[in-house]
Amino acid sequence: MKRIISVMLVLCLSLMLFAQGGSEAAAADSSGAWTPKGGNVNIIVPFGAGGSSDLTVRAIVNNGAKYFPDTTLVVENVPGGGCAIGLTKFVTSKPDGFTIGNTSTPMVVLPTSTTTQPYVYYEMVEPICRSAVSTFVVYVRSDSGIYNLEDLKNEILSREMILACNSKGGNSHWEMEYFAMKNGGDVTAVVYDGGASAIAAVLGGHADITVQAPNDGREYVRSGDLRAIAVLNTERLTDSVYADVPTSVEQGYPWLTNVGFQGFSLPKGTPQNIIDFYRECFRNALADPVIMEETEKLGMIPAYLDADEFSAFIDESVANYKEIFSALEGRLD
Amino acid sequence: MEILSSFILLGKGILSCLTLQNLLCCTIGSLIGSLIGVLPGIGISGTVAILLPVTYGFDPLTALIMLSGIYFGSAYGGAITSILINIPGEATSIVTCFDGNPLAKKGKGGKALSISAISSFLGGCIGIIGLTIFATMLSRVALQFGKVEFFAIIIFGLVLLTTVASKNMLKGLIVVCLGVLIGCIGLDEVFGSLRFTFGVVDLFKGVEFVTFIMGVYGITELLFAIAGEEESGEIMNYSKADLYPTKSDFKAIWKTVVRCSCLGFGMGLIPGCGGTLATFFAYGLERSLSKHPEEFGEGSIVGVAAPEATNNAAVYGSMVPLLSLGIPFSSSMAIMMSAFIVHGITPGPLFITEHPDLFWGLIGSMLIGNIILLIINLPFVGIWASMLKVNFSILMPIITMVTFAGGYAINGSVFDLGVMVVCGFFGFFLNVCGYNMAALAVSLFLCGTLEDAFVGTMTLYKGNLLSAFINRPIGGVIFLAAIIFFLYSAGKNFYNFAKTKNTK
Repeated sequence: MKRIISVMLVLCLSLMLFAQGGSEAAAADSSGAWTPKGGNVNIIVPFGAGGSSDLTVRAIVNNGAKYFPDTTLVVENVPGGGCAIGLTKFVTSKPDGFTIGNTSTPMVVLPTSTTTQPYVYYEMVEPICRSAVSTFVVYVRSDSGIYNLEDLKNEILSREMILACNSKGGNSHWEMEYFAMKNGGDVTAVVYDGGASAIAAVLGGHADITVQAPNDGREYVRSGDLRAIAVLNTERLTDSVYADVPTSVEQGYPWLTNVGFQGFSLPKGTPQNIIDFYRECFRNALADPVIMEETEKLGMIPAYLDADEFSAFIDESVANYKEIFSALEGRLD
Repeated sequence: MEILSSFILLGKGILSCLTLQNLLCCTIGSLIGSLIGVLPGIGISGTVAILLPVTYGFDPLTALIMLSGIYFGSAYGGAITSILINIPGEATSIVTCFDGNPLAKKGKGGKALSISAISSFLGGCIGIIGLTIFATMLSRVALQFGKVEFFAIIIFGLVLLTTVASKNMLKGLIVVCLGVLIGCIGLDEVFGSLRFTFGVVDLFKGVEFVTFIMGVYGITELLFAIAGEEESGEIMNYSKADLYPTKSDFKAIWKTVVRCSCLGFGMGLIPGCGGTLATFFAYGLERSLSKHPEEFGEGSIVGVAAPEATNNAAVYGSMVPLLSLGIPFSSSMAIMMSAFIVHGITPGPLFITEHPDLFWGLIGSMLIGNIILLIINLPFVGIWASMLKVNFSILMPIITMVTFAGGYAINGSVFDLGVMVVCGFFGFFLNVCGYNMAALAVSLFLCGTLEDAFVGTMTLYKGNLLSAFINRPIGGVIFLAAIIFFLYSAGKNFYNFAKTKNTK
């Protein structure tokens, strides 16, 4: 009996731990200037540590501390579910200025492409700024005999092609589905747990095509294992490895472009003075030459937009993606 | 000839590591690594991630040397907790608990620790030789595994778990299924649908493996201590002679170490789960080859040597795709890769040819790191083992505190502590009913890959599993082997059951 009681006691004691969590009801005062007063501010990155998205955020945190007065920035990686987990955690956090979200393309793509997302993320944020944009490249194996989008189109129409993608309905998935559909064909999409695994699948012959960020495929193009057949943008990449790779627009497919973005937001309902504080901080930090250089090294193109412009950009992207995804009619589910 | 030149390059690599600065960094790295690795919950990838910023200021080779010191140090630290307090830090050191902890309870913790250090070292050396000879040759092996092969391998692994980890196959089967079910909690990786979350946002990410382990091992152990199932309060006695292995011990383990290292390196080439499965496979293999299979699980030194040699050799196997292709197949390898990138090195197919100095320097540093680790850890064996002399009523609260701190440190989330405590109670009751925690934990660990591979296979072959196995014969053969092995074990189990019933 005594033992049972003591077991119960431990249970009670451990439950008490939860009672303590999160009830600092900091009354949000929206008048006057605001600073975090030296407190920790979490930046939720919906990707794992070490990926290019994570490293771009860390470039700002490591080099830009001086632009964030009274603030200790802490990166919190919340990976999984093709960003859904991190984004959910961010949009459901308290709008008290102590949580910033690293909001990139999946914020818009996930809720517009699939019906299974728990929240419509882009409606639940207060944009601070856009920091950078990135583009995507279509890769095939170099022994495949596919040299451009025209070849790819013919190949898709003549046999079943397998696409290795990083998440259902996300970037790296919808582009090729859209391409196939517009040309009257179809591809079979198989999900891998990240860019590296998807590339490994193409290298190993388990898949035929993959669409990845330029940095992820760079080494394999250099070694001659993969061939980059198209840059999904209006302009070519400046990187020497990709200098000869024509864009999808050049190849006559102007509707097949995908520009990913990186940005920062606060949860919906954050008081205006807090938003203004971070707008100022990020504007200064993103103009820093060291941070810009680090961002470029990671394969992103620095492209700052202020809160209002970013907000308009998000709306535009949403409309654009909605149009594409409604044309795809459930092919992505 | 090519192999010979590889060894010459390796020699050069070792020489380039032998500067005072590099040796110092390697020593500090292994020391800090093993100290942090001892803290339950942090594990290898956590330790490397925490200490990565320390290396920012160094030149690439020195930084890599320090990181490999940290990496192997924390792997060794994980074995210490497995043996002394029955809390494995990583999936790969779960098997070490099987015999390591019973040895510690018999007062032979010191011997278990030194056996584990020595077999890790030897496993590491064999792994390094394997990496030196095969790095370029086997680089494409990892690429051969598609979704179908993965699915077959994991099914085989789960079947293996039902028999290796528990004596009663039916109970083994039950916990394996339970583990897979718990692994399903949260947002699924492929379709993004929510399962068993009841709208709790913190559950979206699922039950994390390390949190789960801390619960079912750490908290369960604590509950057992409270419930008085263990002989609490008893002070362990041991003599100095029991700290280090004797000649006859060496005789008993050397064959095991060589066999298991080769097995570990080979299976380490299987991306993702190879290392973990290899430890179970090695343990089962050694048990069936042993002249005293009854000693396994009761404190057999062979049972400690086998998994430790295997998991260390497997690390080098899993480094083959990272170094020769730039593809990290596990989270700890992904962190190592990001460490490389931070220092301006992008591992890829051209890494070995373009940066031979770094590649061979890195392999040389691994060898040196292993030697240093052995040198600094053997004298510590006595200190660690004397931890068991501490009175139970003092030791247990400290372990509890460290467990909670570790559980919190994983994600900085209080919710995780709750998950941990719930898992602890869950594990306690399952343990009382005679279910095996290792099978539960590993099936949870494998669940994500299993589902990913299953969905991938089904997409590729339009829902026809048979055509998948016919089209991919390697996967088909492994799957068939799994079925035969399952039926054989089930038959044997049933036969034994019938026999004991008759004799009664």
